Amino acid sequence: MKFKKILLLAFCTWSLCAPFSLAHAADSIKDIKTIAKALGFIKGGPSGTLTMDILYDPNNPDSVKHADEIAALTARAVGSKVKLEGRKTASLNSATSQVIFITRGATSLYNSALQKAVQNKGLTISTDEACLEIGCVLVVKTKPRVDILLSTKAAEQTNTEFAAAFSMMIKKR
Amino acid sequence: MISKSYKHISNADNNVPKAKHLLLAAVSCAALCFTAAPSHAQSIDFTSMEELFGEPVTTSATGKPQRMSEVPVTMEILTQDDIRRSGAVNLAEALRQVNGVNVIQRTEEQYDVSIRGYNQSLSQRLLVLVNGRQVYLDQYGYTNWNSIPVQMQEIRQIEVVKGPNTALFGFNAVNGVINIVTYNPLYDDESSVGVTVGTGDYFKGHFVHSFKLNDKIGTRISVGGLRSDTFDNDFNSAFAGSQLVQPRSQSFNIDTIAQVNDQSQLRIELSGNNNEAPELIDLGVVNSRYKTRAAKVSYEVDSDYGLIKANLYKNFLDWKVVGFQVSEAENEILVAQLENTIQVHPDHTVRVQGEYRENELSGTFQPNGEISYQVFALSGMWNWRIRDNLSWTNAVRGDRLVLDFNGGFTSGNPFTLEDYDQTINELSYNSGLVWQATDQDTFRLNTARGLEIPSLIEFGFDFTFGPFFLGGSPRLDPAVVTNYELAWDRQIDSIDGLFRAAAFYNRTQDVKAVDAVSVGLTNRFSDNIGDSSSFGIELEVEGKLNDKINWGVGYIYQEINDDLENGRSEIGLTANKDFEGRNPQHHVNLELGYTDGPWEADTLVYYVSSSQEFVAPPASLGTYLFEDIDSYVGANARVGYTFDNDVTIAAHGQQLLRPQTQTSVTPDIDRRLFFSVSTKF
Repeated sequence: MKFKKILLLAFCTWSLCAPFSLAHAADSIKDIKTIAKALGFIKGGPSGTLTMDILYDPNNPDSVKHADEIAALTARAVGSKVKLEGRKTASLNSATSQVIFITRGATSLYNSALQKAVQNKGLTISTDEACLEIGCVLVVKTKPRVDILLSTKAAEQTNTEFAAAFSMMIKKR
Repeated sequence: MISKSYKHISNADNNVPKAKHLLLAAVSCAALCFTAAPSHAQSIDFTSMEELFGEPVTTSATGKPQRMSEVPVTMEILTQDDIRRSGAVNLAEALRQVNGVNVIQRTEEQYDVSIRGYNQSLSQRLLVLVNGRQVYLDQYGYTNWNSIPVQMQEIRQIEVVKGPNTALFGFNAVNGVINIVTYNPLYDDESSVGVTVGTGDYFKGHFVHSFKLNDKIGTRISVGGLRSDTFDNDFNSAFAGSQLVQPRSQSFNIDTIAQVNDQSQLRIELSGNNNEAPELIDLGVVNSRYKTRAAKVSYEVDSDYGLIKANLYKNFLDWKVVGFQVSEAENEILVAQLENTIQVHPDHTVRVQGEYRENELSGTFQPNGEISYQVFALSGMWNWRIRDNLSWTNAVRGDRLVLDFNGGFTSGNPFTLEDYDQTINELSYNSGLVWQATDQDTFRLNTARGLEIPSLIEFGFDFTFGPFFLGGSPRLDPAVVTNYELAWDRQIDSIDGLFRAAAFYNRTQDVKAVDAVSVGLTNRFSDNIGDSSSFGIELEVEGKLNDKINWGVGYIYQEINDDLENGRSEIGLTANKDFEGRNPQHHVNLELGYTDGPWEADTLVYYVSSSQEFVAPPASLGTYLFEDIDSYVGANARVGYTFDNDVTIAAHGQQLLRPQTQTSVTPDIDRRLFFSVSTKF
């Protein structure tokens, strides 16, 4: 009887809670802060202010819009131990910094961006999960909760290693 | 700029044999050679991790660093904000806000704390640690909360794990584990000084100072002390052996972390406490004096072969019960642990640990000898991320306990030294599935087997008085607790909060007790006295109204069914183990908090349903009684204001609803009002 009561209670509570759901939100300052904090866990990693190239595809309006969003958020350095200052670029040739942020929809640039990151001895990051495994080492999501996704293959290519404790807390693909 | 040169340093360093690392750790802090390169995090930087993931991070569930929402056990974490805002002047009062934690205040400063019931005077089934070092006292198997040498202001978080976790922490983590994590002196710059005064001539002061010797070595020192009057209310049923003393306590703690190189850290912790206070033990309320000292060295290496950690610590206890013939115990515990946690595959993390433990008790509880045991343990944990939203964690531990008695026995003791040459081999395990069914819903299903080892006094008590003998028994078995649990967490965005529910069933086999069995009319011994089972549900919802108001409601229902053969036919019950009657079946917690700029106001109202408490007047040793304890409602509250210069003033109190409240067989508990001034620097 107790088991039935528990099931009933669980069902009722589920029913009460079920209607609530999350709404999608655009990238926010939290995304940038999360990226900056994550970079702080790279073994022997950076500290201080870093320039972050915001790579976008000028032929893709969504990519351009995303680049504008990120550039606005990083107009001033964001972060604490690691601070990120954004710089928009549509050309890989001008992406000279060690942190390359790949915008949403810049799919044509994924692979070459990763190669550029290898050249720069840096890494590629994004908030767009589609970039993972094809071009991004790290993808950060903050909605509905913070999730950090790592492409093990891309991390290997760029020789990126994280502190063991941090590494055990992120999702690897 | 990101410097990749670390990789070359890292690889070179990893070629150094591990033995050399350990030797380096053993030499001393002074022998360390530090380079000018900036330090990098190896040990868990809880503050940064919490900021990053937006929730507390812990290693107390599996040994692997995990977010609280991903652990395979039901656990709660109190942060420093929670502790400060509770207004609690001690650890036990701070723990009241955790749903499922049972807190009984016995005297001014004595508390018994348990998780999910089974509370008793000198509560035995909860393992308490500070930064992984046991502060649970093995001589009789309980925690003296006064003896924990930590100031409230230096606590980073208190991790509360519900249910057995012996497979990770070892013996006595049967109903739960509380791990008190202090600030990391290398990462956290926390310094404060303050005083608290209150009714009953209460005075408490603390000083906490974190400082860096250079960018590689951080130290935090803390000292604190308190004094207060004794409650002068009439006694209830408990026997009082003598004039009760006024509680006094002094603590110190020194915690140093040194970054040895990019991959490793050395931590040295030294701490101690002296305290004296009235305390309810089985016989009644007595004056107890505790003197504890502890030294711990940890060395942690973030290597290509995993996160390797070595711990070595020693605890010293000098316990004196004033006014009794059997009154002194000196207990020394030595623990050495070596562990490695490694992610062998992106979806698989394993942890292996070996542990060696020595535990010795001397004093008047066995006046002619010394009881001791050694423990050899090997444990393993495997965490498998089956899918992004599904993980399975299994842990198993094997313990081998070798019991020994050195010296002689009192005249009435029927045991021989050979009787004490006992070996106990036991297995414990934890297994838990975590399924994040949706972005909002997480389900946990787990089972565990935990072990409650007999205390040294339960094993080796040796007391002859005239024709009578009261003693321990080398033939005691550990109590085995098996737990099954289903839990559900749901994020509720509309209230910016969380709903939590858990249902559990656990069974304890071989409940153990002192003074449990008689042989003839004159000899009485410790014994295993039967089984007990328990079923309960926990419900909790918490949320926020805008950024200023937070609230929470918690409820736990629990019933316990004993099947104890605890009758000694000629004298009645060994009632201290009669959990069924003693357990309040209902607990309710209501929390409300408000914050606005420099202002903070918080209150906790709690309800505890009626129960029965054990009474053992020593004037008539044959009579064991119960006293009914009515249900009661208590309230703690705090209002604080922080000035621009980081000075905080606060008015706070506990048991605010009534001048006196009966919570036990001890004298009623007074309402207490406090005023605090503190500053960070």
